[in-house]
Amino acid sequence: MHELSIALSIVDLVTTEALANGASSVSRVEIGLGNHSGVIREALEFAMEEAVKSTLLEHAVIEYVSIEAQSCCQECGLNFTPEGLYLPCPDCGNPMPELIHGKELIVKSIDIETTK
Amino acid sequence: MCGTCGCGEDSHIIYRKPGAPEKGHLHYHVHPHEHDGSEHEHGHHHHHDHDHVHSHEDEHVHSEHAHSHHPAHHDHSHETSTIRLERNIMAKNDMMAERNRGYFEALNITVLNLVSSPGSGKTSVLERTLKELAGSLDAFVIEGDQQTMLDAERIKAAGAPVIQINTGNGCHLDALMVNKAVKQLEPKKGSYLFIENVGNLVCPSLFDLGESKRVVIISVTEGADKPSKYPTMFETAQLCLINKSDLLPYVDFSIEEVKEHALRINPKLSFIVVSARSGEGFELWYDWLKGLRNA
Ligand SMILES: Nc1nc2c(ncn2[C@@H]2O[C@H](COP(=O)(O)OP(=O)(O)OP(=O)(O)O)[C@@H](O)[C@H]2O)c(=O)[nH]1
Ligand SMILES: [Mg+2]
Ligand SMILES: [Zn+2]
Repeated sequence: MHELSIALSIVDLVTTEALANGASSVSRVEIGLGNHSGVIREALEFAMEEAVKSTLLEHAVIEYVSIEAQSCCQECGLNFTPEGLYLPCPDCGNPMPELIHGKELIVKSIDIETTK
Repeated sequence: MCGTCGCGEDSHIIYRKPGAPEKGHLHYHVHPHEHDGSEHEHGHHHHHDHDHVHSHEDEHVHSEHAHSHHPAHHDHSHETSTIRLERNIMAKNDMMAERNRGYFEALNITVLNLVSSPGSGKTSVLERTLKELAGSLDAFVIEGDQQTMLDAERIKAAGAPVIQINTGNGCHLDALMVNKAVKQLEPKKGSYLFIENVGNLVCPSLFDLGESKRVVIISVTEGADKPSKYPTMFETAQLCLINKSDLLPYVDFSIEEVKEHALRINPKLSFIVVSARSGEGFELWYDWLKGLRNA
């Protein structure tokens, strides 16, 4: 259910940016979701439908781009795509390689309509 | 805007001290914007809005429909442009959490965010802690629950100033709610502030409240594989209290197994086995709490 408050944050963020750029409406929103963001895409899609009502985003096409997990080992410097989460470094066995991608929860881009 | 439902206000989030009259009225959701242009009858109920789960196809039809209304098709007065944002969606909460954190640091307030599944014993652990440490530390409590004042009443009876946040349908506390609650609670300089989050192992993990430490509680009546099933919570906590140890003789629960699962996710996690019923392990928990001051 936290997807609804995330959806509202998206609407909030996009609205602010759109208005700052003089938009009359938003026609597309591109959302980046890390595989390990803690957000369920289906739940977010559903929540977005509610959240966009009566906003500049009401008729926007919402695109979801998933972002694959990528880890970097602080011990040996190895960059790798982890096969699962919370696994040690495949090279040196360091139990906590850092997840550098996969946590993302971002608005990548928006298309806005402006009236001339 | 309300962080819980789409209604555009947060008046149905209620902040209340035990015994005090309710601030504001209970807000039953009437969402005027959801009724816009829809052919609803009188008495149309909220959950109707959830009936129309769109498939992807629906989504497209929906947007095309929208486009066909668009003035851009009729004249050339509209222009579409793309703006690259690459902006973190959680930024707003994170920013508010940092503001809270700065406030707490300035007043030397140690803040613990207690998270667990419903019923693992957050309130029970707090009750015992507050009673037993009454003389040795100043404690304040924020209680997060969807509905009732019950936990706040228990905390008040245990002797600590408390404010209840009723989140309504919300399944977690966020930094803004804590910010508002703190203004009413007014925790003292140098005190401990315990925040009991809404019983839920998933959602609260994403929302930084500005706490000093996050404490996850699991009870021995739950599955030892819980950390693997709900990894984010165990990943973001610093301490894991394993509660209800008095029940260990009666359940099939392995402390070693739960630690193994949790350490795989978070090798830095500490553990204390406690029983809010018998008091077992609480000395270690108090040492840990007091140790936060010297850290
Ligand atoms: N046997 C035993 N029961 C406990 C212990 N701690 C809590 N309980 C019981 O577990 C139940 C739930 O405890 P609470 O403290 O209300 O749990 P909670 O995590 O605050 O629950 P929510 O606020 O609803 O999420 C109550 O019936 C407690 O009496 C314990 O150490 N041993
Ligand atoms: Mg409770
Ligand atoms: Zn390595």
